[in-house]
Amino acid sequence: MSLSEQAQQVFTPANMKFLMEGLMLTLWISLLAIVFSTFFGTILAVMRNGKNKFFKILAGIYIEIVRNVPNLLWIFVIFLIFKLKSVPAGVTSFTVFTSAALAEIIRGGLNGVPNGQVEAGKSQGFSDFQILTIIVLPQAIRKMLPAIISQFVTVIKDTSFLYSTIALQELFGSSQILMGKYYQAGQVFMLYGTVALIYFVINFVISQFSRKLSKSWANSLE
Amino acid sequence: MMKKFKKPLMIFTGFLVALSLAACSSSTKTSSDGASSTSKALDKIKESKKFRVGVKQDVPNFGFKDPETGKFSGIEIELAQMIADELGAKPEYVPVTAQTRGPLLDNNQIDAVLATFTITDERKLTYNFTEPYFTDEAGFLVKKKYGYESIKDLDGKTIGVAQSSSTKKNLEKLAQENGISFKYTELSDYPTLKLSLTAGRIDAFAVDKSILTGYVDGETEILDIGFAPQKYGIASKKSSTDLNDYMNQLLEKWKTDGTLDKLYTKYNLKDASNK
Repeated sequence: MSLSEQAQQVFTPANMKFLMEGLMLTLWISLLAIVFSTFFGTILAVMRNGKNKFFKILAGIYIEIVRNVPNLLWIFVIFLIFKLKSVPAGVTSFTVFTSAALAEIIRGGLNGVPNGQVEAGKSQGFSDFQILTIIVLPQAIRKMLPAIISQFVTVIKDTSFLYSTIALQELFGSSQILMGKYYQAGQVFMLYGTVALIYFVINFVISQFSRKLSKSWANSLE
Repeated sequence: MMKKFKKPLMIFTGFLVALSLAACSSSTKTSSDGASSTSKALDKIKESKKFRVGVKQDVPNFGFKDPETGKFSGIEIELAQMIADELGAKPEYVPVTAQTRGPLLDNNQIDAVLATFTITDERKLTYNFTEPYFTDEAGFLVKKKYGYESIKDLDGKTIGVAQSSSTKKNLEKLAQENGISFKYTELSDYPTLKLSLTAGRIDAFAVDKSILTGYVDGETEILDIGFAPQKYGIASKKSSTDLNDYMNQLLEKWKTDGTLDKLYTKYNLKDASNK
């Protein structure tokens, strides 16, 4: 079979639609995971940074355990223990380990806000909660956002684990299913190439955005 | 500065409490599920009108999610549909992998597994298996131009097998019986094995024949040699004996009235149970 014939078989509208559905699921899972992780990561960071020993230790234990056990194991554990369907299980497991990763990023950001800012807030009669939410967090978030966005790239790439572990048909999974039908050498390269290109384009755009953001904000903070 | 951030901490503690409560309530729920399934798995399916089956989504002719239609197809999918029809239920296909199909059964997340699950004595200790609905034997896919015919022609050749499959062990036995030897290359998946054959990195690709049929093209052929018959059965939870008996009856019926033969023809499969 000639290469153009092989390409004609692979690049049909139905196959492309199939890959796009996988891509949508990849993006949807990544988006949910990153939103939830930012929320829980912030709470964990505030807890670990704080003076309350109990919460400090609790957050510390969570972060260390999660970060030091391979992600694949978390996916299995969450899928099997919480008995969720594969999409919620995917979102939950990614939230579990991404929130631990983000907690450390956010903690760094919080520590980067000069103490004078807190004192200034106190002198104006703000409550501690107000100081955290109105003064410290907004400044910290500006510093951390580029790093958080980079984490998004990691999440998007890593969701490709979900197919071989729990049969969740995201972008990579869709290509694997198609591979059941097209196995000519040329076709395999075309399929893998297409999927690699899709991941690359999305992640490259995101990293560029994050780089640009960090540059412009670094300037504005000075 | 943290000591006084009581509010967010209280909110988070509240969340933790809520979470643990939810966990407790769900665990009590599942334990009662477990109790009911021990007694009557069959009634539960009839009542809920849902037959939850673990299926493969990337094995053409067995369980395959067709990109053209987005629907599942294959002999295992049709069997699941037929069983569900008999039970007056709707099939619900849950994609599984070799790692998740067992635990999903144990967890009561699915009622049965129809996913190229080979019946072995070891697995029988953990799950109920029906009589086989299909028997497959392993074979060799080779390039036509080399003109291999008998097993002796493959003496000293490199055989490509899938990682962690039982094929290699069976091949060793086969080699011993014929007084020859093989070299092996283990690769992760079938498309890669097929590619290696095309690229000349392996001399033959060995796996179950029904899988090989999916990979034959103008340049390659399946040798007329079969070994290591594998029986595919429907697995259910050890406690769901009523469901297992019921499915066995159905399979028996479909075997005698020719329904299974029709399915084999439809999916171009060759049953090796009479060999």
